[in-house]
Amino acid sequence: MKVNKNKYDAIIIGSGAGAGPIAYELSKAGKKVLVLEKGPWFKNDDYFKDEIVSSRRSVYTPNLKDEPQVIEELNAEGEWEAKSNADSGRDFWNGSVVGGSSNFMSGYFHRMKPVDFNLKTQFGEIEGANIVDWPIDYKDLESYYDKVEKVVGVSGESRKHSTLEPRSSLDFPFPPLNENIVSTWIDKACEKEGYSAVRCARAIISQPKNERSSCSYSHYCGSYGCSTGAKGSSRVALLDEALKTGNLTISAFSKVFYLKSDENGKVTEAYFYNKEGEVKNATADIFVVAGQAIESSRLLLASKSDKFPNGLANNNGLVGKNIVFSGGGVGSGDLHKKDLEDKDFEELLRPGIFVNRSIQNWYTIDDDDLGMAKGGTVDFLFEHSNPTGKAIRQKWNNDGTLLYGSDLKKKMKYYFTQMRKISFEVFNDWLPTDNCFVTLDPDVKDKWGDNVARIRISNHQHDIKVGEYLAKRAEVILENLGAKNIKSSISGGAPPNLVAGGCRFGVDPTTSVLDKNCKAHEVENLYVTDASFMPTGGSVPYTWTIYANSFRVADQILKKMS
Amino acid sequence: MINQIEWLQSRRDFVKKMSFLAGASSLPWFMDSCTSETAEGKRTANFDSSQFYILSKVHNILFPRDQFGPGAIDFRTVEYLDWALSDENLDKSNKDYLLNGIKWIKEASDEELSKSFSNLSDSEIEKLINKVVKQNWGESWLSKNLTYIFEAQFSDELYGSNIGGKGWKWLNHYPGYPRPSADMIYDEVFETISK
Repeated sequence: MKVNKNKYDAIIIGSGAGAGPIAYELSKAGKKVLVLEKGPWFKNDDYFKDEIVSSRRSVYTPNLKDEPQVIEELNAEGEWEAKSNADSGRDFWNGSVVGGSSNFMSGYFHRMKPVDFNLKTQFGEIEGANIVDWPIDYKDLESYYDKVEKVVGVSGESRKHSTLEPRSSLDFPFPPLNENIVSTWIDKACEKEGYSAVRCARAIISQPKNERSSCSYSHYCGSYGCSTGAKGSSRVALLDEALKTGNLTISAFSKVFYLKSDENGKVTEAYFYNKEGEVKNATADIFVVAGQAIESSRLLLASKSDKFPNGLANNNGLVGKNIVFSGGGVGSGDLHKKDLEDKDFEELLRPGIFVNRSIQNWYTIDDDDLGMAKGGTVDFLFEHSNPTGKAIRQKWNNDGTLLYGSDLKKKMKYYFTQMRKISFEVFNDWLPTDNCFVTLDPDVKDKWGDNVARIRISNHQHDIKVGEYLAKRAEVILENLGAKNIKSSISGGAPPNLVAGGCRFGVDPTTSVLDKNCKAHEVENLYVTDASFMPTGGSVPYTWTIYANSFRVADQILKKMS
Repeated sequence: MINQIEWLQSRRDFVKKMSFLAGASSLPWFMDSCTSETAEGKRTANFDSSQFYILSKVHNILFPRDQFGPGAIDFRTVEYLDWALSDENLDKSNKDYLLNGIKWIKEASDEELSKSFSNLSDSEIEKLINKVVKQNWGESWLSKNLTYIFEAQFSDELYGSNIGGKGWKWLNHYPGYPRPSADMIYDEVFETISK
């Protein structure tokens, strides 16, 4: 789409969950909005369940040779070592397409809970961690969580349980998705331990909405773009609706690399490369950055000027600091045909339908070792259906040697037809520390010649202890299910798809980048609305909170505009 | 009839042909032509006849056709690997590694069995693989080949290997839907993005 040379009311950089609500609300309010997205624009009809495209190759993310990032971690000698991921392949990109990574999410939707908004007050400081309370409370966000349920579309059932967060709507606007028989087994397994199994909400609609079809249970979901429009991506749920107003322009293949600011510190223009690599620019009254946490920090750091010699909105040196990921890990157990009734096993193997069970009984914990501490969430799910991925995990013997030939095939046959793996994912806080941040790498450049993001990654040991606490208890549920080969792995590895922080919001301009409305303290017309604003990440996947906060900020922008 | 020459053409041409031959994969002649094409010593875009022969033999040991189900030969795994190595997004070092492995296993045949690989019987090739898998390079290279074998057997039939979904059927696997269309498989999506 052609970028209008006239001035826009607002320019949004990025098009994912942080961008969509701003585009939606401003367009509907009659404002002229330009979305600049670095990737291509695929529609529902362009998405297929093709394992090669969606999982085996990096199609929806940049080629790391063209657009590397530098990962810096402690090596075995205890020294910081930086390596370009063009060599290592450790990819921190997530969906460079219109709609961003929300196209490919699994859509496990949890709200953050009231306790998440004031961790420091509730649990005190932890040595080595930069924990702060949020400048807003749960009640400031509740109506926006509710709005996301209705506008983006969230299916589920509100079951009462000990850590259920307050809700203004009695129940979800879309009924729960169809579930596998294992969901009722998990309910019973939890009941036995005195826990409540939460019916996990999903950003997947179970009934049609506008032009969007309901879920077709077509198998393969997470990591895949949705062809029915049931998945609540920013593209289908918000941008498509905003386009109907005639006020929104989406420019794909538009990689913003510099935000120009004037002598007063006000942003005046966004400079970007188009598909041909030509430099273009566009201007607006309001600029909203939502390019995912790492790249949003990179853009601000790269946007230097006389007033901002260290990068836009960075005179306090805090842009890029306090990056957080999601702490936790994974676990699994195997359910075997030989241990089940034939009809139950047949039901267990039914493809396409969901597990949708979580446990949040341990959202706060009181433990001899940990004391009173913030806990987290356990989501249950089946192993991903990708057959190549499943097969690859079968090619190793227990002793770590390679298995091949008829023995491998025998093992595969059993694995695919005589059992099903049930998994769980643990989500707990990744505490912000001084050693987890984004800077500009001084040497490595992308294909346009711009310095790339360098990400220093380090986790706090407390995160591991909490993760292990949760995993141990989740394993008991799998035991109650009769699963075999139960195991879990909690690590300090950073999940690239769950990243936040870098431009934390707060009341004090000396300790935060953004004010409580996600406007840069130092810049009167700059907002950051992806997960960058989050000073702590909660113990749930971030997407629902990003959507909700972006709707909240949209109201503030409209107020300012009026 | 789809023949070897067509396999040497670009992947896109082949895919376009597949779309003209809607349903061709269910035709017996098509199936026969596919399996018979995995004859020894074929030249492809990335392999000379010797390399093709060695890979075919190695893949047959790694994933034989046996009582448990179809084997590498049924999934045209060497042709699939040839396509995978033609990917302009693939790092050159990865391609070199795959090709170097062919050299190394030839050398291993000379050293371990004092025989040229081309003169080995199937049981001798199995013996050779059982030896080289104990070495780091051997285990790593064979493992990489297995990954491509899995991709060949589980990818959509538009990629030319899992014809009729036989790779899914032997494991009762249900693929996701909708299946890809010929104009939106890997090469085409990549072209949309890059051009």
